[in-house]
Amino acid sequence: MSAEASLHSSKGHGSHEHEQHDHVPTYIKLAVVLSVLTGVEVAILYVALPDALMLTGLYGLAAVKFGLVVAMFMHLKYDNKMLTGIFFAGFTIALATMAAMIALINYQPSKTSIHVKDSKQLAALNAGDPTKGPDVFMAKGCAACHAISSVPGAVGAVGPKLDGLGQRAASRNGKPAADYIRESIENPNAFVVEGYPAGLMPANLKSTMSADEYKNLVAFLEKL
Amino acid sequence: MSSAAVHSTHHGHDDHHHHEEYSYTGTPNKKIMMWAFLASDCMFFGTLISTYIIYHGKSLAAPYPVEVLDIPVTTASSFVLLMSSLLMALTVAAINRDDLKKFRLWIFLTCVFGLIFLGFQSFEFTEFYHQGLRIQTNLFGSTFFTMTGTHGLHVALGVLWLASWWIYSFFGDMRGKAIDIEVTGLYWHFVDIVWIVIFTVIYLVEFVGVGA
Ligand code: HEC
Repeated sequence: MSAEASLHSSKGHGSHEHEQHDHVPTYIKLAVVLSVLTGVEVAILYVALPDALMLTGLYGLAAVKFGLVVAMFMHLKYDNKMLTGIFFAGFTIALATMAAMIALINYQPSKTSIHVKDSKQLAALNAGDPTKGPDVFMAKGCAACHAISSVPGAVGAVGPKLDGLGQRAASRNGKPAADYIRESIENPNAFVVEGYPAGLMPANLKSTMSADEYKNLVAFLEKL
Repeated sequence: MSSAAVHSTHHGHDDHHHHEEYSYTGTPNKKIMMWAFLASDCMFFGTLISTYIIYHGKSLAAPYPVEVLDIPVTTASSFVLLMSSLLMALTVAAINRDDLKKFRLWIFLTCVFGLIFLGFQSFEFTEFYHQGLRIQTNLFGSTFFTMTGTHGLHVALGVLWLASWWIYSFFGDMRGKAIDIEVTGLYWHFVDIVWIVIFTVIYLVEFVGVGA
């Protein structure tokens, strides 16, 4: 009986007989294989391939690496099959739960599901639709005090005419135009236009519209 | 050859040796316990990873994964963890051969590689912090830090466990401990396979269709 078998136990259990041969060369070969596979995984990203092919390659390679480590480094290949059973029972439940959770949560009306991958897409998502701005401008009573030449019916003269607002907004207080416009609506007294009294423009107008209406209104005013 | 005789060549005296607790299946109970724990840990990480996937793309504030994840750095750290698995396997092979010197060398290096991996992770976390990503910044930050942080905690516990065996080997009696080392090794390899999954699902797949 070899030294290693006896270290485990003098009982000489059958399940340990495999350990009598030297695994070290196998381990080293395995480490080389795992490194090469990792290299291939990363290389895939730098090659122009169809997305589906890339994903198949990436998930496939990860599964192969996972399997190799479990079978060889963790010895499941040689050990009592009961251990494989215990582990993959848990693993399967985990995988099934993941699949179920992801599928359930992704199953929702497309209107409420958004997908933003980077800051550019976020900006696009936050940008309002300027073509819908005039309707909001009329519906929320802005036209009673403000005139805009391009909007029929917007002829109010209590507040300044908003033509060219997008251009002059930037010079008002050094902030980007959209920020100044939002500030003018949310907090009209932060900057009072010369020649007009403070406190005349109501400060609660934002609360009368939905988030989308507000976005569309600002997007429209910004373009004036 | 009796086991006592084998031990005496290394320890200079022959006396008792440790009897493992074997289940009727012929497999040490400690090993069964560890595999049962790892099976449950699969579910733990499965939950964290699926939470990341579910909230992927739902962040309404920057920064986004494509803007901060660093493939070259993470490839290096993944490689280090992969190689620590080789070192761990060599550690187990050494203790099975009763080669205490090699055992100390390999287990020490496994710890070092684990620490290098943790070094990479703290570098990554501070880098993200400077780019404005905190755990409270957006859904990406919350799910990312919770998942990779839990993995890092597993690595840190593994390093402590391995380091205690290394220290123990100088003062304690390593006879009959091969099974304990093997069980510690199982835990360590598991941490590695979890990272194989995280590296693919969170890092690599993010850049499909974008390029690294
Ligand atoms: C009761 C009248 C009144 C209403 C209603 C009103 N405003 Fe005003 N608004 C004013 C007055 C007066 C000023 C100039 C004083 C000031 O800056 O607060 C002004 C200023 C502004 C400015 C700054 C203009 C500039 O040249 O810097 C913007 C932008 C603006 N209003 C947008 C709106 C929008 C959008 C609405 C509708 C949601 C609206 N206002 C409703 C009276 C009104």
